[in-house]
Amino acid sequence: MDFQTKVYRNDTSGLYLWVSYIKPMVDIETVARSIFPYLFHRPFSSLEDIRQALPIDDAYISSDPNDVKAKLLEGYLFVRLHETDETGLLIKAQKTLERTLTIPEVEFSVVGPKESFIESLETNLYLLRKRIPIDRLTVKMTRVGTLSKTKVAVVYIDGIANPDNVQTVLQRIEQVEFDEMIDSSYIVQIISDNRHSPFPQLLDTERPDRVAAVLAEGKVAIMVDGSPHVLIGPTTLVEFFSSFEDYFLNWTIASFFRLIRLFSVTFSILITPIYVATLNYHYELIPKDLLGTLITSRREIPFPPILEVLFLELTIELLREAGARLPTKVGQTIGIVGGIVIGTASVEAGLTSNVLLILVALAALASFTTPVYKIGNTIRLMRFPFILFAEMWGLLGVAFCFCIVMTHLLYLTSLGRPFLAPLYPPRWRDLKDAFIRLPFTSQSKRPETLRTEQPIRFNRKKAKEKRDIDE
Amino acid sequence: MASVAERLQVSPFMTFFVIVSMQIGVGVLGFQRVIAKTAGHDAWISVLLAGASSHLILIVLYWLLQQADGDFLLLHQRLFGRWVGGALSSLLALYFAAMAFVVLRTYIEVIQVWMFPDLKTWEFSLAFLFLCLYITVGGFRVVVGIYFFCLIIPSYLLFTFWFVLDYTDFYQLLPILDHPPSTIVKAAKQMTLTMLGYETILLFYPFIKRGNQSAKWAHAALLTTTLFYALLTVLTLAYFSEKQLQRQIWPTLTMWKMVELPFIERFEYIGIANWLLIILPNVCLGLWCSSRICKQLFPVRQKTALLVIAAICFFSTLLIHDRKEVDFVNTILNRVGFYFLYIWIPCLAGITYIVKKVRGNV
Amino acid sequence: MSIRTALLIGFTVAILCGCLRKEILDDINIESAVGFDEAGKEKIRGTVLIPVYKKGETANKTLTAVSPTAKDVLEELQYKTSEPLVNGSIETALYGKRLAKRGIFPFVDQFHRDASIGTRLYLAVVDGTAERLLEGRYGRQGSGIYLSNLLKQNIEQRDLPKTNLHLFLKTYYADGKDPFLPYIRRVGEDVQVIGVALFRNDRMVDTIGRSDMFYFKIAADAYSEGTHTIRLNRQHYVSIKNISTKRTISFSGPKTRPHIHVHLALEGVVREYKRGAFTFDVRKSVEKTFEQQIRSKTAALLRRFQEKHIDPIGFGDLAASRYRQFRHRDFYKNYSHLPIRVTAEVTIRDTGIIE
Repeated sequence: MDFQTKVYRNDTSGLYLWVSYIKPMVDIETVARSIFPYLFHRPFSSLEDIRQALPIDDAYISSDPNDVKAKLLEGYLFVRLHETDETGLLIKAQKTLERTLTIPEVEFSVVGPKESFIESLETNLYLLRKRIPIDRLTVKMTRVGTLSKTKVAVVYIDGIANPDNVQTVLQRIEQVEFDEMIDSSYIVQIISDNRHSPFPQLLDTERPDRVAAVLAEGKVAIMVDGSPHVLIGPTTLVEFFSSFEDYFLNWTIASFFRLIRLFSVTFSILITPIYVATLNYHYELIPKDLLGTLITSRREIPFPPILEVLFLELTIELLREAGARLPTKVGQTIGIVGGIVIGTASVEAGLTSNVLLILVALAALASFTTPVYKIGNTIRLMRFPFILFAEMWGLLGVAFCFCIVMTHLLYLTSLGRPFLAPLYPPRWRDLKDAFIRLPFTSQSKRPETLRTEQPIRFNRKKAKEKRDIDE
Repeated sequence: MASVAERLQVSPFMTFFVIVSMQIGVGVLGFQRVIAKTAGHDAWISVLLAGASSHLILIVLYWLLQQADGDFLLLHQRLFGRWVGGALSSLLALYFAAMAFVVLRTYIEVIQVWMFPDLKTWEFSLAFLFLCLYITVGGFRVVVGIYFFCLIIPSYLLFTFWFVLDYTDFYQLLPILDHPPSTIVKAAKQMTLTMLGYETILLFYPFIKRGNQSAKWAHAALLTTTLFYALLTVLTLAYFSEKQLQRQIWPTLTMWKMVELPFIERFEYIGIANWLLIILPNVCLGLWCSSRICKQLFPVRQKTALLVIAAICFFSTLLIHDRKEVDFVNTILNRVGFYFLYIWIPCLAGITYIVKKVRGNV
Repeated sequence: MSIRTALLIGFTVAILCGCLRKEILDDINIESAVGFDEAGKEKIRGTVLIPVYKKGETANKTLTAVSPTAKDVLEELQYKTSEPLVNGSIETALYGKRLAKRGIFPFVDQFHRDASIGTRLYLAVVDGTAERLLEGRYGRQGSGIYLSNLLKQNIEQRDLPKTNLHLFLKTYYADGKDPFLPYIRRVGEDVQVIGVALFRNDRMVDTIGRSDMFYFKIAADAYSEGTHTIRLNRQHYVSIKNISTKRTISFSGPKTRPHIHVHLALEGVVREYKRGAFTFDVRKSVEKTFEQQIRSKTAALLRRFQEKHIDPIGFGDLAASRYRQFRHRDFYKNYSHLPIRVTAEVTIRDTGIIE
């Protein structure tokens, strides 16, 4: 049993103290160093005296048994003057063991700060607050989860963020009914607008600089204790394709990379279905020079194109899954060896064609370019319905599937705001940071989708100084 | 019933997309043949005339909407009483439902002739209508979203006509106005049938924010479509010789056969696949308008009306078997549309005007 | 939400029921060229060329069948193959000389009706039989590609005027223009373009030889690249390249009997001149000679057309665009007597890197 109660005797006044605590939660060293000297060697006559004498700020007297229970479980000491007392002094003596700050693993960037969130909510708030040291940065704390009682903090900048957005978030978190809240992704899945959609509707990030930047835009952040990922909302589809590194590079370069990313995603989703559609139904589309190559590559293969494609796609998925489960050293080898060997061997064996192998490999590579991990998974998934439709109805099927996906995206909302903004409803001014990124001096207005209270970020005229020739 | 919650409304700019997209439908693939038969190489003038007339009709439509405070069906009711007005509105619902299924069936025919001869009508019809239901159930905002994308994405097709220029002889259009004016006007009448689609504004006007400001976008839309059709007609007339054009059922598709891109040889397949995006909003809006009228006339939920109308459309597509029948229903539908827009609407405007003078207001 | 699940289920059901006939790429025989010849009184012999793709060089295979109509012929051929024949990729269609003289419209029309055939298809008349030509082995990538490249290259850079299925049909249906097609012949292991075959409606009535092709192209089409060698006097030749031409045709007089003026303007660059320096005087004389040659040869061609009652240049259509209420019938009644005047203007620009 790790709940302990010990009796101590104060030297000076002669009073006995009953100290109760839950051993794993309490930091014995801090207790021994900071608390016990005060408890045992200072003169006092009541709990109030002790409280005032202690250098620890988070100490208060309580007689509410639920509160006491909760705090004991968090790592507080419960000090009573008599064994049967209901009232006692709660002193914070929490053990804090956490990871040291490391570089972000998922959203690594070559330039820019390399701090990443860790599991402790306090540290995360520290990382955030030092980047926005103003008083309007509001933090609203709640607890979620009947068993885990996880601390959840909703952060926003008062005066900039739209109160509706904030209200929506707070309300939804309030209504969460769950027992063990492990990670922020649990919260995402529960409070999302459209739970059944494979598209994520809240952005998650592990970079404090990103959170600081979006809070300045007017978004709302949700931090969960125990999770290094922070949620941001409301968000749009276009944001999932923008890496934070875009903001550290020159805007022309950044825009170019963004466009490449978008192109590669489209390519990744569509290339295999187009292969299936063309080989099955539309041989006339293939240019004559390519026809020879394709036919010779498919000559020995006993399967129809759809089976070929599915075989290769599933192989790549297998490789990915296997690589993810194995420990790093072994995993890397499997990845490379598996890829090369299986690929080459299957071409030699005549199970797939080399053209298709290249296409599938490129498509897989292209799907890795998405900076946000969650949308990468969605893209992997998206490919399969397209392949199915291409098999059924050729190019018509591809167009049809595209319409279905588009309709689905039109239905999605993020915290009530349309998910496809700034494309639809068209918000022309927001396009400055969608597919391309205009220079910072042009970005003096906050995104319209957020309907912020204060749309102007900085004085545009001051930012753009104009000088005449040789002035 | 004319006011709709603000969160369901769209900005007036969207009117542009809805109207342009509605006017450009299956007709674009084959309209040139009909008008060229009547007016020969002066057919492009007919297109411009038809476009001009559509602007006039649109002005009348907007006037009527102002009079009726945004609710067109109410106008029918007020002027003719509940039963007759209701009957007239039901006819309108029938017209929109018919529009939906005729567009769908015509497109299926194009696919069956050009791409997949063994595509079963009921298969595609069923799947397509399910997609339309999925869209329309989301309400007008989702439908407009589809309009927006289904105009922007296929717009690249405009650039494909560049490849056709090599084989055009623009001197074939000369001399201008070589045909008697009566034929040009007659062809203009035939052209109006292709440009139908903007009458749907009568139904979706309440869904536009600041509706009275949408008029300029609607007119811009008509102008764009007119120019587009006129340019396409000019191109077609220069690309084909007269008798050759008469033998083409779908001149636009035949023109696409000439397009050759570095990676793609036969472009018309891509054109036909993209055409799915262009007719999708047409069918959706037909279903939406039709079910909305039903909702306002009868005590049914719009969702139920939608399902019923979609089912009716589905069965109707099965009844049409070959090209002759497709042509036939197209002609009937177009005639009905023409009489509605060019005869009924002006009459209605006249009646409204008189009633207004007599009664003071409607 | 329940309506959405219902929709989803409905979708799946609708989709899974669908199955279309596939034409999987390596399970079909892709025709790359066809040929039609006369085979006795009422019969047609059809030949199809199928590339056989192998690593490295592509081989060819031909199949022939005889049948009363064109459509039947291609159907007949299906009996002879294990993999279905598909004609979506046909690039060239050849017609034997005798068949061309009889009339080729039915064989062109079937391409027109078939939705899977493109309108960039090249048509040509063979001096000989199409079957024999298609049986040859040309080029490394297969005969089909060889033939289409041959025609394409000659049209773009040499003396063949622009022509393909679309243009053939366009001129066929036009009242004021007669079609023409390239005229080719098999010479050993090569195929050569030997001229242009002229048609009245759909029957071949005349040919233009290689020496006159240049002048025909200038009159019928425009030149934008290409080389031509003219003979100055006796042994001396001058080779002009980067030729670009423009033709202007004007009409004057009454619409039933107009005076036609054909003006041809030509610009070029000297490529080869053996006789020393290309001075200003030399240039002028070359220009004059060239002009004179163009004038006489083109006029001779046009006169020939008038005599044979064919109009491949399309004067009828051009006249229709100049006059109001034009009637082709009246125009062609007087066609053979119409005065046609040809003028030419040659400009030789610079002389390359040396003088």
